Amino acid sequence: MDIIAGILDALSIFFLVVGLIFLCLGMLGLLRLPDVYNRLHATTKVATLGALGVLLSIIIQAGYTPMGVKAFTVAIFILLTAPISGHMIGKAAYHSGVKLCEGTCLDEYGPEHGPQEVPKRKK
Amino acid sequence: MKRRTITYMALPVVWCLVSGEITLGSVLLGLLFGFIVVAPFSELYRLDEVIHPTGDWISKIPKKLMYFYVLIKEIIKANIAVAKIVIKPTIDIKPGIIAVPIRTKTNIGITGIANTITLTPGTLTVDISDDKSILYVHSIDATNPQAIRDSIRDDLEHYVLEAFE
Amino acid sequence: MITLEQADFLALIVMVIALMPSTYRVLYGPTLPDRIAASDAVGNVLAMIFALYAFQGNSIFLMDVAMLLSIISFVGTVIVAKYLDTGEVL
Repeated sequence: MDIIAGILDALSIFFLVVGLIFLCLGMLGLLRLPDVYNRLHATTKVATLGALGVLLSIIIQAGYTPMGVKAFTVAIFILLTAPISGHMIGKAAYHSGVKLCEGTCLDEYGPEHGPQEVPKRKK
Repeated sequence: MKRRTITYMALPVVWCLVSGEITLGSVLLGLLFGFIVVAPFSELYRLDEVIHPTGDWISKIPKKLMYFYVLIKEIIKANIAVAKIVIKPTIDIKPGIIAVPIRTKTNIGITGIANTITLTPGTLTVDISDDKSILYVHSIDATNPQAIRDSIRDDLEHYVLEAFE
Repeated sequence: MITLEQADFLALIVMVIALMPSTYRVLYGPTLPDRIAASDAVGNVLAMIFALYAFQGNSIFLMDVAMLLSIISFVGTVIVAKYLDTGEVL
């Protein structure tokens, strides 16, 4: 039994460390990437996996208890809602006229959906 | 089957997950709370509409599990791809918005493929066209738009079509 | 060799440090959608802090706080984004 408990502890710490690394990278991406759309890439993907890693670590340690079931519920909720909020923010940003960043090479969404044109290169 | 019946069947499961105790008493309590909660909102959600679930919902469960496997694999790939971009000392990206034609017609299929695209490498769904046939996808690397269209059509939409339609 | 409790405590410290960049985005973000996205991320990380703290203190009710925080963060994000998009909420 000691071996199984040790393996579970090691697995839990592994998922916790992976989750924390991805959470920090998501926040770093929020700081470093150039415009709203690219920042949404960082928050919707990387921060979601970080949150899932932390919750998976809690689930492994708690097992089938009320605590574990609630952590499972939070995990499912975050997995379902993170893409939706990213989609809403992206659409609202485009319609309210936030410009795409400078390196953008393609915009097929079209000027008729928002107040902006295809972005001009600045010298 | 009316939508009201499905709601009454789904709410006890939600209550069990939220309260953390999966017992018979918890299910009954969830049923009671379901009746109380649904009553004021019955006009808001068209609960008396009759829906016809497609017949082979049960037989598609293996394909749904396959879809979740593909989803988790793609999520991990996506995170490593974005994390590599974030961690580089100089950020050198060429993003862009691409129009991607889709074949799914039902609402749940479109929801599934939009969420899958958002969780997969380097792409983020921004909007859908008015006739529900084109998704506008923001990609973090848009130098080769045809390759992104091909990869979405072949890798992801295949599994979504099998699982939800 | 550190124990599991110490690992959880270190994780809490790391997560509080990870909140700082998104707080900068909320305060100084150049546009409004930047601030919305950053506050959504702050809500998610705060929910994770509460979940880990609930597990460490073995208190089930703090896990409810984490659940409610993630739900309210999602609903607030969607409402503000929809207001920015169409000019009305409902």
